[in-house]
Amino acid sequence: MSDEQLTKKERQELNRQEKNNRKANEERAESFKKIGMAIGLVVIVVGIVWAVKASRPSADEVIDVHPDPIEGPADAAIVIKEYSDFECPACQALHPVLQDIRKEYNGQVRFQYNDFPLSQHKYSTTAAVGAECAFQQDKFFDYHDLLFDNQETWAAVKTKDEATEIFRGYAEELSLDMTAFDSCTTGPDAADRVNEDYAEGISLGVNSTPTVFVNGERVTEVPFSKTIREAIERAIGAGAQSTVSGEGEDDTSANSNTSDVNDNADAVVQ
Amino acid sequence: MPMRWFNKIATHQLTLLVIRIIVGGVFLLYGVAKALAPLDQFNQSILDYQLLPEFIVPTFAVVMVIVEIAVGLSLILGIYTRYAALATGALLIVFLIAIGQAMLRGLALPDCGCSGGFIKLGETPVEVFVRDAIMLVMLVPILLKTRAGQVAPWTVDKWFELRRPPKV
Repeated sequence: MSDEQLTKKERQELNRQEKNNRKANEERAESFKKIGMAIGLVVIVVGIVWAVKASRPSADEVIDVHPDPIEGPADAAIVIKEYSDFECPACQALHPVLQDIRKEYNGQVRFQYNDFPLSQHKYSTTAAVGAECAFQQDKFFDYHDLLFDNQETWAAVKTKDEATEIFRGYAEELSLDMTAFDSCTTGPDAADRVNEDYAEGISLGVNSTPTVFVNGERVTEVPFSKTIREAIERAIGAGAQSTVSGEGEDDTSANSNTSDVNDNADAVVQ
Repeated sequence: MPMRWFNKIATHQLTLLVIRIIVGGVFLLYGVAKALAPLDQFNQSILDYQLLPEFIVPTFAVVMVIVEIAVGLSLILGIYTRYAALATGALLIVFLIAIGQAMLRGLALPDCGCSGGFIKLGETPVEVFVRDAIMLVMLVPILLKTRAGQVAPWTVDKWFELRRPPKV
């Protein structure tokens, strides 16, 4: 009798244990599934993002969404692309440096200006829009020079209206067609181009101004007067290596070509 | 009486769904935006807060991006909803502290770093602070609803609960 009872008790206990086990197993399976689901989805999302990012064009391949202000021959071997903000003091400081470099490498370099107005600057977008509108009337670089030369004046004014008035004044100074200029600055197209430039900069990894690319090579080190020239020399060297001969160049640059080629050759040997 | 009405609305299943989609969506989208933007930009934004030593920032940035995407997805789909909401709350508190201290110290934040520079909303630190605080408050109904092992409606959690064999 007692034996039978014991087995009954035991059986009950066993059943309970089994049930508990099954429940624990089910719970474990459920959390595995849920956590697996979460991890799987995160992996998928990160994977897609990574794939999109990897398929992005690099600095060399970026195709401009619209024509940018350009100075210098269209077929120049060296392309200097600057992402700049008219209100940034460092960009203003770079302005004369780039002017000197363009003079120095006249005919060899093409300079391309891109807007990258930073949000902490109150009037830089308005200035960039004004410059885009001057660009429509083929006066971009004159306007660009005026903006940089007078940065302290217009950056210090209290209101956007005052700044706009100053920017209008520069357009008048360059005797632009003011009706066209006004409709351009108030219309959406110029602002769109500024935003497109900014987005293009972001896609190239630009995160500060000024950012300069020499044939796609990003130059970040200061002093720019030195580093940009070095990057240009490297680009000339690379060009000389691939085309073998430099045609019609003056003596100094021919010399620097050869020395660069030699430098590269040394590097390879080492 | 009005408190009861408020409770009823705040923990209504539709309210909970909307909250999950909004808060989870913000985290997911900003996480993806950060991942798409060049990472140096997000690194720079983190550095601007002047809270972390420089050597840890790149690792922190990557972890942050993945955690934000994970938390956003879990919150939207309702996978371990309560824990997802708690993690989101913890992140928001960290963000609030980071922005708050930057404002108090008068640090210049060119960008809040929310999207890692992918989009430029030009929000001021105060606006970002308020937005994060609002999202933090929005999590409260979810935490109220999921107290004591309760499961929020329209979630993966609920779906699993319904599939469990009935208790005898």
